[in-house]
Amino acid sequence: MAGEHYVVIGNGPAGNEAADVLRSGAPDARVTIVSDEFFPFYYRHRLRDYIVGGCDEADLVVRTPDHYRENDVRLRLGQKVTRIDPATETIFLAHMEKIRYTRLLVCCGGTPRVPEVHYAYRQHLSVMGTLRHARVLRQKMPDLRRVVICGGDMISFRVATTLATVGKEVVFLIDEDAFWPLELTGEVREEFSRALGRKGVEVRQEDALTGVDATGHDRYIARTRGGGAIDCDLVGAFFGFVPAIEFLRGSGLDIERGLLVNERLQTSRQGVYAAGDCAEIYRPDLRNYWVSIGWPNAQHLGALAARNMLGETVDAGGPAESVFEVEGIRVNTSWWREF
Amino acid sequence: MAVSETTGPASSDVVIKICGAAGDGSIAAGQILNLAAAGMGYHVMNFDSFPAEIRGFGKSVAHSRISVERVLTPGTMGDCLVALDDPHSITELASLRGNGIVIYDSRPADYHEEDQAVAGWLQPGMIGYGVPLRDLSAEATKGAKSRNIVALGVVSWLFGLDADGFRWAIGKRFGGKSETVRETNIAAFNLGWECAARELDKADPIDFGNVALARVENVSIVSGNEAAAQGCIDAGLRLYAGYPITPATKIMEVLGRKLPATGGVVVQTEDEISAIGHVVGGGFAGKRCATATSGPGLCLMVECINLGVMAEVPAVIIDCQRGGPSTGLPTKTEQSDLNIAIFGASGESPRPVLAPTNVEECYALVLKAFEVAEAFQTPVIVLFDFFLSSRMEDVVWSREAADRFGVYEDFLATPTPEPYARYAITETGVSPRAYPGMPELVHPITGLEHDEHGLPNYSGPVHTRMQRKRQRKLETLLARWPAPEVVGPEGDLEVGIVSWGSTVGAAKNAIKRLSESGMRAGGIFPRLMWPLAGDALREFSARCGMLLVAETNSSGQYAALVEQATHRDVLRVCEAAAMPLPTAAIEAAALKVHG
Amino acid sequence: MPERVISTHPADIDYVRRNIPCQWGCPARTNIPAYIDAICHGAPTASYAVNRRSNLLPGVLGRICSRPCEEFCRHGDVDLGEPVSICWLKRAAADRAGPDHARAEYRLPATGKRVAVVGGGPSGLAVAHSLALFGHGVTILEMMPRLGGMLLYGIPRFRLPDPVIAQEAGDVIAIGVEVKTGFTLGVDATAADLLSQYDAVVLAAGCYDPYRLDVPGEDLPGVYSGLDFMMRVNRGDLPEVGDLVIVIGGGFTAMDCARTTRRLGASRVEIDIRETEEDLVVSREEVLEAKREGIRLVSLVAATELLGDTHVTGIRFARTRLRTDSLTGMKIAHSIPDSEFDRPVDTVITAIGQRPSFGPSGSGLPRTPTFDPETGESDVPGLYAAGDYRRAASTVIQAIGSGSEVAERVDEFLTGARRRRKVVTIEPWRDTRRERAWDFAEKTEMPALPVDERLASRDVEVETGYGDEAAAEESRRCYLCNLKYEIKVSDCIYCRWCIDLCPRECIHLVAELAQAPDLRVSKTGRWNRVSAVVIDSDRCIRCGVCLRICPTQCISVKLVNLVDEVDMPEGPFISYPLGLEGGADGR
Repeated sequence: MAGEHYVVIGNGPAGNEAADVLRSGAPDARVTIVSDEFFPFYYRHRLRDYIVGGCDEADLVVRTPDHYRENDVRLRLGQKVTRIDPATETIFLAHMEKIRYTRLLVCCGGTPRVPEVHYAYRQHLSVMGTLRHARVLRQKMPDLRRVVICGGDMISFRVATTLATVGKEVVFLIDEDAFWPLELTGEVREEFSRALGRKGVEVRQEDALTGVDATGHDRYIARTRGGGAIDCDLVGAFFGFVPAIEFLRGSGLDIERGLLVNERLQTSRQGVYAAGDCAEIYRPDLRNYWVSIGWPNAQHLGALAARNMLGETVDAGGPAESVFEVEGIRVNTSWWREF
Repeated sequence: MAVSETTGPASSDVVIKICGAAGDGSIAAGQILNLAAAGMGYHVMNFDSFPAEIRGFGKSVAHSRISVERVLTPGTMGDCLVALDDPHSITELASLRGNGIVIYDSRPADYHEEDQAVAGWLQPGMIGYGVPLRDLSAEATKGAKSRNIVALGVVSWLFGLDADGFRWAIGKRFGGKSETVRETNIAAFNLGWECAARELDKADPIDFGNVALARVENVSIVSGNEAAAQGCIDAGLRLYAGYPITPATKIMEVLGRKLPATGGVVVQTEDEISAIGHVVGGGFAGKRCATATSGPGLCLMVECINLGVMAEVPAVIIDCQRGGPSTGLPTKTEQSDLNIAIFGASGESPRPVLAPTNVEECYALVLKAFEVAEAFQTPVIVLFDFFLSSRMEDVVWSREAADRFGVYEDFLATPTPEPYARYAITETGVSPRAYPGMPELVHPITGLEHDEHGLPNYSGPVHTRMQRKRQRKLETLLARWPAPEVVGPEGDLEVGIVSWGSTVGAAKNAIKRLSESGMRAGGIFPRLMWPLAGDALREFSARCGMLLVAETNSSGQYAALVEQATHRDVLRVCEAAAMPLPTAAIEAAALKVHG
Repeated sequence: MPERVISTHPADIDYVRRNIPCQWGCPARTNIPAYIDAICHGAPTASYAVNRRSNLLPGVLGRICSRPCEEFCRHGDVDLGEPVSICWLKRAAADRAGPDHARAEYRLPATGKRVAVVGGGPSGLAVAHSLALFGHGVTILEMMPRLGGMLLYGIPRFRLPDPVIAQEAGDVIAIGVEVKTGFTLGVDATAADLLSQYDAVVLAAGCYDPYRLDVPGEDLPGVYSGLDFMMRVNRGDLPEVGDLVIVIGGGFTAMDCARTTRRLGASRVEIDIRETEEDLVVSREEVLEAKREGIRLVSLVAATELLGDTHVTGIRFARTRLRTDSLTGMKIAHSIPDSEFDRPVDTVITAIGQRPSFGPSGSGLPRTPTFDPETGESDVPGLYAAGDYRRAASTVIQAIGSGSEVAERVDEFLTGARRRRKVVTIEPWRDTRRERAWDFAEKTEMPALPVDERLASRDVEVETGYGDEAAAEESRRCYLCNLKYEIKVSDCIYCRWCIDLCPRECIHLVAELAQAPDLRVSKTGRWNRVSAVVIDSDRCIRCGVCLRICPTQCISVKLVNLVDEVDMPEGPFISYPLGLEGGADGR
């Protein structure tokens, strides 16, 4: 309908899929995507190749800004939302601009999680969530000899093996919290350790990071529970992702880990929806709250949320893509447990 | 004036635009920026744009190009936009480079409405730096609106333009004001600088390395109008009579301040007719006199100029061309008064017309205009345009340098009585001239056709002889005046570009670019528009595969003269688009036809 | 306006409510701007004294207060940043206060009346202190060997060290309060007995009866109730704690228990709550510290059964979902049908709140007395209740606030007159030296011990207190909302400079001030309708820019304080906020 303004926060797979659906379902409405990254919609999973120089920035791009112009979608890049006010249907941007919406979709994805126990030395930890992080890693890459990887989430395996392939020494610490947010059995951990070992990664079982000291520019000592003191050039923290919804605290929306939504991806406030890695929905089949992981899930939920925003009534339904393959090992990821 | 030892800064050329609403101080900030840069030895070219409304909410943009080497044009696209007013700055984004920089206020009093924030319109590749301009301004000057000065602090830190140079410039700019004003403005600058240093992550490559190329204490950054005023003073102007009109008014303002100290007089007349009457009258009395006006004023002056031609009285008229016709576009540039300058009169009324191409020539040619007017006993029209009148450059000028346009003192012959013939026919056409009051050299002077003694005479042969005499004066001038400037390689050219006035800068840039891309390109650029340098034009035209004329009027006024002289069709790159002709337009036209 | 004006007008009280929101948010009505200003001026002892007038135990509360004031702090408004760390500043003052602060600022003549206060916890101490100042003979009857109540027995030492409690409780009784320990109400004497021995009796015995989950298995070995657990630990009678601990509940006691079990060697400790982390009443810092110590927080779960045979081995949970109650607007967690799942556990602690109880044959009166939850008065003349005892588990600061109020009622009962009241003082003041740059300073975090040092002991205090620089920095963030900036309309020339520079857009041209209780103004932009330029104090952040820029100096400052006024025999006494009259006043 004319005069309506659909605003999407987040320029990833969920946001883009939603924008497509909104644009075709409401040809006269305004559609705006707001992203805090200055880079266009890109393939996050290619970042691990990017950091070792296996591909360039141009290879990461899914859609250039031209696409949005052609489809009459206003794409705001590099603009951060600082808060939203559902009562006045307004979002507020960091550069002091406010935008009114008719319907709002929050799909801002996840951000690398650093557990509070590591806060004391978090400035020495490197994470890889967005292109900004990846650029830093890529720049440091030629000078890295030895890298310590802790946490052990799904991304860490791929990163570890890629680094080993390009000749870096990789020390991988696996403890019972590895694979977060999944809880996998000891046998599966063993399988992963062996797979890593075959790719040239040194695996330390039942070991965890307890401290990091900086010994020089980009030089660290990583201390471990098992008594280790590893001299290295980088400590990579791969503790999984948490929804990047800090900016929604105090807005009146129900938040747990992510933005709580019902089966139709509506939040606790009229007119505000959420989809993708930032949304949390109760799954009766899992008897638990669930946050999606992965690109296809995000697309699916983004489209679904958009349809609901347009007035349809569609439920999120059963679990979508639920099996990941990592280094030849199949992992069932259809649920997300609390940590 | 010491020259600092330096390995050379990384950057050598930057275009900075400061955009605000009227009252935001964008122009003043631009002036300080220019002064600071020039004081550090950089070249500066600046062309501000003002809202058409004299008071009101229009957009004001100070546009400065700072460079290590002297440049010919102020540049069309900006490298950096300082946004003092968001809504206006949004409209200015179109003239910012794709990888350009925007400096904006990160903490305005309240949130901008949707789409009214300049930071919301940044394209990928652009870099935005948000600084709390308003808050820092309130802290520094506690009342005065100094966001513009705070922004200069940010610019200084960001681009490595030495902060001390700015502080010096601020001190100089506010030199006449109280200590407090200077201090608080420097405080505002410092706050902007410190905030930038503390909080900004520099992500752009522009860096002048915080070095001064030289310390120039007596730097002059002047506009064409200011240069013209100085030319008048150095020429010994005794009377300026004029009527204010945009964009010539500045000349009168400057002379009003400076001329009385030299013993000269400035009179604001009731209209342009009176003004030119004063000038011709004063010229008759033997004094150097001048007026400045714009197109509509020149129209009113035509009859009296005609009198000057007929009575062979010297006068200098500066016409600062603007968009026409009629009241036209008072604050926009155009080069459409060539026709009226050359032909505007009843009867055959030949007079020299000069057109400077940059600010230094504004000084030199105005200075020369007085010499030429006196030597050849004729009104001389000097054509400026809004662009030249208001654009500012750092200049070094001198009387000696102006002599490259020739010296004409030898035409000043002392008359002898027995009996005295004021309009004696000579080979050069120039008659020895007596001034009123000289004993035994009394003579009549009239707008009627006259004989050699000045007595009215309407016979055919006398008229013919006098016409030819007056025409011959110009031919003599043409023979003495240096040939038009020619640039480019010797021999045949694929493209020849003819241009005049302020468009010459863009034309020279275009020739450089075409040459770099492999084309044989050259140009010819006259300063003496009339009499027409026909021989030079024909000689140049003969070498050119294609002849192109670039000027900012829509019919091609000089192009028509070139065609007449060279008997060939020329390609007109003629646009009256209220702005200077961009280099790219000339280059594109040449490539289109040739390439 | 030449001198100080004292007012009890409701409009002035209402002004304080709206304009000094921190003070109004404090249940004890602590004069927060005054005490922070004192710290800013390097006068911690004066700051401590200001605190003590309303909040009797500043060193204690500066560590464990629930800080309701901070939620109202103007500095925490949208776009203004984080609230001032009011609580931590209070501690900074307490840490530095010299021993020479007045323990009793005034003393009414001895009345010859005697009052029994049952319970020596925070509310009992507050009642006793006020009653002693009123000139009555006070006896505290305390069950435990030492004074402090919940402070000493329910709160872990690593949050509140023993010496702080001892010092501040000692200061209270040092003014002449009698203490008898080992007294249990209903056992050693009933309320009726006390009423016959004393002229008035105040029951401030706290709230120790825990709420139960009321699920099967709650009495299995290995299941503790939170407060009981803490009391045992603080007494030195350490309960047995396994490796896998789940604490059910999200209040302060739950946090305390979880963090204590970590110090008792549990390696996996979890706090499970029905709602989400957003809904917790404990401060975010508290939650963060718990997480830093390796404790996990699990939300949206409700325990339905505690499993096990001879010892608890697991908990059955249902998932919950939040619904907003349409009447109250509060969020309630409802269990989701068919969502049960089990978790293994060694030790369970339930910490879901407490309620008061009388104990066996507590009152000894013909009818169980009923107490007004707001005022503490009962239907029995001379019998009052204060603190948690009156109103179920609340916070320490509420307990202290209620204690002071009840004391005033008891005093009225005993003397027939209300001899102490809150008044508003208004007086002309000067511009501060506050700089605008201070408004952008970030909140200073509380330094704390590294986690490995903390977990080694139950007693080492985790938060180490602000250093001098930090205290000064943080105190400068306070806007000093007890100031009021006013424009004298007759001197104003409408130059509008103040309006142009005001960072909060809180200065307006008004056509008329409506004669409405809420003092609405009708703003105008039309010059021929302007009758005044007015500063909206609700929005004003007292930055002073307007005053400094005004060319006619028509903007002035008033100091507004909500203080106690006491009817002394020689005339009304006002405990003036700073005690710095004519003193170190470098403003």
